[in-house]
Amino acid sequence: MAADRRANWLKGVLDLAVLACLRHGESYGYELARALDAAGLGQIKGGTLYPVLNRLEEAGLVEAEYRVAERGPGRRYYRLTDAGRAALTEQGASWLGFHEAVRTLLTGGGA
Amino acid sequence: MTYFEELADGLRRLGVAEDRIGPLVDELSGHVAESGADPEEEFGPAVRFAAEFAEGAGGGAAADGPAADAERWVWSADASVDQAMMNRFGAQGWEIERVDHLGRFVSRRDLASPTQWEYRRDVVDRRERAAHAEALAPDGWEPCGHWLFLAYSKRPLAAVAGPAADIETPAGRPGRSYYFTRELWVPLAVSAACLGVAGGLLAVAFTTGGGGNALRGMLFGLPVGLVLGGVGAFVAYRRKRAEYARASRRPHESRRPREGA
Repeated sequence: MAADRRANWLKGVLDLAVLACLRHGESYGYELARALDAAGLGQIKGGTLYPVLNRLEEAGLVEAEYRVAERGPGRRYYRLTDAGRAALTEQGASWLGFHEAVRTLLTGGGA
Repeated sequence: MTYFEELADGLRRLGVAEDRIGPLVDELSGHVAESGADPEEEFGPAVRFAAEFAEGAGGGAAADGPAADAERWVWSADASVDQAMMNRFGAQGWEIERVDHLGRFVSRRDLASPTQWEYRRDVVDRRERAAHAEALAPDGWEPCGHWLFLAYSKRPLAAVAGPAADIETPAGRPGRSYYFTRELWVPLAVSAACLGVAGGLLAVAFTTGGGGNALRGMLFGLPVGLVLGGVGAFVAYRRKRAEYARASRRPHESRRPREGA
């Protein structure tokens, strides 16, 4: 039950979390998964992460560049676009507002 | 077929551009190489991942292409095995939408939430098809095609089994699309052999100067052959029809008395 609830929260905010991970520079899929894990969001499976990255790319919020590796398969590096940076600012503020409302309610500070 | 080959195949079928598939497969291969994870465990079943990815990649956008949330498959089987094959593939999530004019089963499978289907086949006269469909409807059956005197019906297994009918990990797409047995091949081969022998004898007759006699023989032999062949075909048709009427069968069910027309 608790895991389901957490998964649902994550579903609603994962795209923002990915945008936030790219705020300070480019990154690639596996590195992003590790960054999200290190941030406390848990291990995000590739089956969840890559469709999100794809949707962000299709929406023009990130852009990707494929680079051939010297050894092994190539990597696609993602970076924020201007639209992505604006979406992160705007949607991030919206999420924080929502978070604050829930926090206030849960801590007994609400009406 | 490896996981990534299956994935690439699935993406192609869903209309994802080729220049997007290669880099994606590379990207995912790199991910499992770094993480040491099993691809299926990391990305889920290839067909499901392909569907989810294609949804955001403009796959299936072509007017004639399949919807991104379903894969399509057209297949065929002769009447001696079609029921068994329909139910085998129905258990893998394939839903037959119709029977086309060549007698092939036009099927789809939901990629996001595949569920099992079951099928039945009955012998029904053309005029009685509507009444037949109406009689089966209370049990959840709906028509999914006709071929000669055969009427095919389908229903989602969830109608009788509930959520147990959902498919967690759908099987890959079947390797073959045609399932023909000796029931079809033997009569075809015999007919082809008869035509071949007759043609050969005529050719010999004409090349040896006996063309006139051969033509006179044909005037008698052709009608007689057509009548005998027609009678034989009609008898075979009636016998097969009676046999199929007795053999109508559904999964989880042994042979049962024939219902419907």
